[in-house]
Amino acid sequence: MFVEYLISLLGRVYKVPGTIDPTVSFQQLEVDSLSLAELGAQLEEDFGVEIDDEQLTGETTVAELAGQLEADGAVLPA
Amino acid sequence: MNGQGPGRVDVVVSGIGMVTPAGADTATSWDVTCAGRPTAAADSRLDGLTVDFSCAVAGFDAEREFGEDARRMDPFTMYAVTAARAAVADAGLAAGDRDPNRTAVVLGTAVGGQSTWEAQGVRLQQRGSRAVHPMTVPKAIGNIAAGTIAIDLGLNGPSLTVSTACAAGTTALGMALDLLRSGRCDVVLAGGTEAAVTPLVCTAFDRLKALSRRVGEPSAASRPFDVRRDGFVLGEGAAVLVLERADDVRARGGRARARLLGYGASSDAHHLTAPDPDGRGARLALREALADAGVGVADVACVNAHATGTPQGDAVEARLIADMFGPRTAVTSTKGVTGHMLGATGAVEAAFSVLSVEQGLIPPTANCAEPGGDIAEIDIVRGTARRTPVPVAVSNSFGFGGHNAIVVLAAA
Repeated sequence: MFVEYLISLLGRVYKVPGTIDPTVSFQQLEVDSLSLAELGAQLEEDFGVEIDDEQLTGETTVAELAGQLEADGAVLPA
Repeated sequence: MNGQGPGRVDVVVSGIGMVTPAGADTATSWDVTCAGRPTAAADSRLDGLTVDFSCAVAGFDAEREFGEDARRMDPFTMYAVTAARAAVADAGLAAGDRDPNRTAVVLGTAVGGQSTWEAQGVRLQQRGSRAVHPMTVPKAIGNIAAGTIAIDLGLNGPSLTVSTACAAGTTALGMALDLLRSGRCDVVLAGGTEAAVTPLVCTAFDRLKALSRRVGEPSAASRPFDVRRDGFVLGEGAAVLVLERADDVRARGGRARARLLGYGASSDAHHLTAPDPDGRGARLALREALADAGVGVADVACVNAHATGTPQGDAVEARLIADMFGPRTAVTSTKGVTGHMLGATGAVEAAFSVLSVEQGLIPPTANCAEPGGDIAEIDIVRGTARRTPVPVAVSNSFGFGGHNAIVVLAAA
């Protein structure tokens, strides 16, 4: 469920164009390091989780990040 | 008057944009200012402080203007970009009308992205380093408003930020004038921006005894030249003027709203915060501005004074104006309406001066019910706006550190 959330967020806030394939990395999606830092901080703030630097790098995929959020117990608002 | 100094290139204002406590656009800001309606009011950002009121920007919708990008922008950047967009639209500058490589941005700010620094400082203190947002630096650094205008409008010429405290908006116009006269650039977006109505800045100015303490009666607090003035009211906002050479504006079929005839600047070299009691630095800047413009004191119909409502500053400036111009030149301080917008104030007041020469209308000095006994004999516009031809107007700005910057504007 976090996959859809992240795809929507990446399109809306981070201006990633077109259809986002969750199995490709942030680097392939051309999300730069500043945007990744911003994304990490936003997710930490919104879901009360801690995302370490090595959990969110250019090599991380959208699906991996979604899985990490779920594993950390993040809960999407209803 | 000969209209301009020897051998000078004629530079004009072709567009204006502003976001002020009097309104989120030029027309509203001007109407409220000409109506002499003070904007100072209780401000929830300052709840619990000794001074809990300000002149806050009115009617500005960050979400509507910037959508999701608003989260990445300090208010001082949002005000500046909004004013710049409006100024370019007002100038009727289409993309093909200018070479982006020769279009510059020069902005003044006294403080920069203060609310961002302050909010993140609180997070660091309360929650530790992890809570500090990674966007803090690019949101808050003082040059980022100018940089963001360049990004937003695709301008590849130099983008500069000047910091001369409360003279910064006027200093920016002077630097822009030089860029155009020298031929280094073809178009300059010049102005000032400030969004420093924060708990720390407000308290710090109050600790300096610079602010009015008219708590409970904020709308009467900003009263330049008045006998009961007791300090300034912190304001915020931005103004951007599009400046071009007159020939270029004519060639593209544009419209000049006013001419930027001259600029003068100096330093008091006297004191950190107090003006030179004899106004020597300000006089030097004024003489230089008039000489640069090629006009005499008799040509000047209106002075938009710096007058912030502090006891000492207003008295020194009134003496200077009386000495230089005598009792017949009209004087206004629009800060009675807008409060003191620090690094933005000079740009807003220069833009108001453009409207004065364009429309032959001088806004009143709000709350100046009775000029102080220490205010020299000058013709302060009070009560209602005055309709009179304004062929030439002067706008004064002075800042902590002893910075003096003055521009001369004339009808197109």
